Amino acid sequence: MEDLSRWVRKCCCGEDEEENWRREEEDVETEEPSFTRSSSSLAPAESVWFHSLQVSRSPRGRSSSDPQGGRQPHSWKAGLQFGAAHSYVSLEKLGGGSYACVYKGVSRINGQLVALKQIQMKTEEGVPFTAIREVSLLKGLKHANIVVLHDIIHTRDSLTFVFEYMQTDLAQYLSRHPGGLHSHNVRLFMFQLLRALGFIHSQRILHRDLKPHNLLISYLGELKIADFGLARSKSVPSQSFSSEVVTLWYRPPDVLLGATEYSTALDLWGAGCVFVEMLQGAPAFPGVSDVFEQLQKIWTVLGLPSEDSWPGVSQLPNYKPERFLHSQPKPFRSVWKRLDQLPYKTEDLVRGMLKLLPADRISAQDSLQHPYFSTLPPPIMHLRDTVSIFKVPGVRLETEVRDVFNPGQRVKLSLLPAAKFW
Amino acid sequence: MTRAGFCDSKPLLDLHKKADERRAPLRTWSNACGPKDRWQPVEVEESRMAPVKMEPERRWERRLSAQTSEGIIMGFNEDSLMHTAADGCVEESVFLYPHGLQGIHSLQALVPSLLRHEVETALEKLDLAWDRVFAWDMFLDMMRTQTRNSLPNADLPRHFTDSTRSVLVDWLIQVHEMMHFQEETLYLAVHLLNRSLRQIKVTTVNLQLLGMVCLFLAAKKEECLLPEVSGLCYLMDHTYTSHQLLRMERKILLGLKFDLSYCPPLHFLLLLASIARSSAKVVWMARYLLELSLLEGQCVVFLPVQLAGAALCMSRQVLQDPLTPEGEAAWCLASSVHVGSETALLRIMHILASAAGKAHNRETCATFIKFSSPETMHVSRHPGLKNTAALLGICT
Repeated sequence: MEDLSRWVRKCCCGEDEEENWRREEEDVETEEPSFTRSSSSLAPAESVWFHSLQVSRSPRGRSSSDPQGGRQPHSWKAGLQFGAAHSYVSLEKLGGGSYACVYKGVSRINGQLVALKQIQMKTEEGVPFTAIREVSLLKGLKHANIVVLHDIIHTRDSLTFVFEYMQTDLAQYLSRHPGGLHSHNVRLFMFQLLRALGFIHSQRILHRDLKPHNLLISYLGELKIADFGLARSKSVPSQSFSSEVVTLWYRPPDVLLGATEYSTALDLWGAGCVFVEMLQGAPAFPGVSDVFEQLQKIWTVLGLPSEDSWPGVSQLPNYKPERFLHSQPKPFRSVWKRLDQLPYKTEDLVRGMLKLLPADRISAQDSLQHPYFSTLPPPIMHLRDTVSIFKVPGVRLETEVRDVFNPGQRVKLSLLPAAKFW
Repeated sequence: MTRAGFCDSKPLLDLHKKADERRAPLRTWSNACGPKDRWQPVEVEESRMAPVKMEPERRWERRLSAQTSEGIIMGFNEDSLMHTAADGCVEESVFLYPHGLQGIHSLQALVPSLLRHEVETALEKLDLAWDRVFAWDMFLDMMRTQTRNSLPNADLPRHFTDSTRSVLVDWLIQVHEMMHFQEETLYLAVHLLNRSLRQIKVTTVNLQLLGMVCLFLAAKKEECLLPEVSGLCYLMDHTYTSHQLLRMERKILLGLKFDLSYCPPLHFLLLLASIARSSAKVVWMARYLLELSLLEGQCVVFLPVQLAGAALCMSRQVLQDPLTPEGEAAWCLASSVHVGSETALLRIMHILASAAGKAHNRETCATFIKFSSPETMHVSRHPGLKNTAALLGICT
C-alpha cells in the first residue's frame, strides 16, 4: 500500500516534492476559511420569518431575515457575515449533550435569537460523524416542523451550528402543565409531529431518537423536530444499525428485543409514546433500570408476545420468556385513564401506533388521514411542506387548563416568559 | 417559496413597524434579545391576521383543482414549478403539496401506474424504502435530488488532467476495497472529489490528501465503523501529518458548504435492474461498467439515473441474453424512465465502451481486477468487452 501510494503521488504530482511542500504551506496560510453569504445558507430564514417570535419582534422588518427579497444589503454593522464567529453573541448555556453544548445566542447580523450548538472536535476523528450526518441531513430538510439550521461557523478548533431559537420544548411544556395537556393541543402537536415524520420518512430518513426533549415548541404552538445526530438516511441496502439508539422509554419492543432490522415503525412507536405522555401527563412506559424492565412495562399493557402473535419473536436475542411475568393485553383505556374520557378514535390511533409487531404499526402518512384528525380544518391536509399549520385560519393553540405558574387562572400562552430552552 | 406571501403582507406589517425602523440599530438589537415585552400579544395577532387576509376562504377549492401541473411529472421541473407558482396567485405557492393527495392523483394521469407499481415493488425488494407507503415519494425524491448531483461541465482546474484524476480515483478504489466499505461510500467519495476539485484551491501535491479526505468524509456519512486518522496517514505513507488531514477536512467541508447529500447511480442501477428483471450476470456487468464511469472525467456532467441506465443497457447488449417477451416488456418499462434522454445515454455508452475496451491494459486497472473475481462472475474478463470497435458498434 505504501509503495502504491507513493506511486500515486508521483503520477498525480509529477513535480519535485520538496518544492511543492513549501508552496503548499503558503497556500494554506493565505487561504483562511471564508464563508461568504450564499443563498443556500440563508434559505431557511425565509420560511420561519412569519411565525417565529424573534423575527416578528425584530423591528428591522423583512430585510433582515429575507436578504434575497430586500434588494439593498443591510447597512448597519458592516462587515458582519454569515459563517463568522463574531457575528453571534452567546448569552447563556441552555444544555449539554453527548457531543455538543447548546447556548442561547443572538445574531449581530439581524438581531434574531438563535441557538448555538457548539461541537467539540476530536483529534483522532476530526469533525464528529454525528455532526456531519446531522448537518448534511438538515441541509436537505426544509419543512415547517423541522428545526431550521441558519448557519454554520467553522473555525480552526471548533464547529458551531446556528439553529433557530425556539422558546421551549415538549418536556418543559409537559412539566409546566402537569396532568396532561388540553386535548385540542395534543391533536395539534401530534399532527405536526406526524407531519414531520411523514416528511422525513419520505426522504429516506429515520430520526431514531424521538422524545419530548427533542421536540421543540414555539410560543405559537409550532412543534419542530430537532437533534438529528442519531438520524441517518437509508442509503445503504440491508445494512443494520447498532441497536443502542433511542432513549429506553421511547424504544420499541422489537429494538429492545435486539432486532436490527429497523424501519419507519421505529419512529412511530416513539411518537405513540409521546402521544400517550401528552394525554396522560406521564411517560407511557417509564422503565427504570434496564432493557428487561422496560420490556416488562410494555408487556404489562400489550401482553407478552408469543410465537403465535408475533412470528419470529423467539429468534430475537433478548426474548427470554422465563424472565418475564406472564401478562395479558389490556384495553388502553383501563391503563391510561385519560383515554377513557376521550372519543374512541383517540384510543384507536394510539393502538395503531403502539403495536408490538413493527409491520402492524400505522405509517406516519396513514395516521395523518386517521379520523382522529378529522376535526381539524380540512385545508391543513394540503399545506405545502414549508408552511406552518398555524397559517390555516382557525388553527391555534388552546389555553392549557393547568399551569404550575398560574394555578387556578387561565393564562394566555403568548404571555409565557421566554423559557430557557431553545 | 413563500416570498409572494411576504410581499403581500409587507404593507400590513410595515404599518406597525414604521416607528421602530427609525430606531438606532443598537437599540433594536437590545430589544430583540431582551425578555418578551408587552407588545407580544399584538405581534401575535398580526402574524396570524396576515395570512387570513391573503387567503380568503373561497379560494380553497380553486387551489385544490389547480394542482395538476406539467411540472410535477417525475418531479423533474421543480424549479419551473416554483416560478409559475410565484408568478401566479399567492396561494398556489403555499399550497402546492408535492407529495400530497392531489399530487398523487395528477401523477397517476401522467405516469403509467404499472411503472409506479414496479418502482414500489423494486424499492421494497431492494430494502431501499422503509415502507411501501413511502416508496413512490422516495423515487420522486431520488429523481429530484439527483439533478443537483451532476456538474455543469467536465472542466478541471488547469493544472489537473483527466489522467491524474483517474489515477487518484483508481487509488481510492483500492483503498476503498481494502477497508471493506459499502459501495455507496465509493460513489459518494468520488462525487465529493469531483465537487471539491472545482470548489477549493488545491495544489497537485495535496491531491492525494484531498482524495483521501473525500473518502474519509464519505465513510463518516455512510459507514458504521470509521477508520482512524492515523491509519489513513499510514496508508498515505505518512506523507501528510494528521494535522494536515484535519485541516483539509475543514477546508473541504467549508468549500462544499457541508452539503454531502448524494443520490448514487448505484441505487438507480439496482432499481432499474430490478424493474427490468435482469439476470445476476447482467447486473454485475452493469456494476462493472458503472464503476468504470467513475474513472472517466467526462461522466460528471450526466445524471446518476442516466449513468445507471446506460450501464445497464450496454451490459444487456454485451451479454446478449436470450430474449423473452416478458423480459422485453419489463425492459421497456424500465427504460421508460429515460424517455427524452436517449442521446445522453448514447454518449455515455460510447464513453463506457472505450473505457471497457482498454480497461485491461491501462495503468488504472483496480476496477478491472476487482470485477474479475469469481464472486463478480468474471464480468470484466468477458470476451465481448475486448473489442472496442465492436462495442462502439453495439452502441449505435
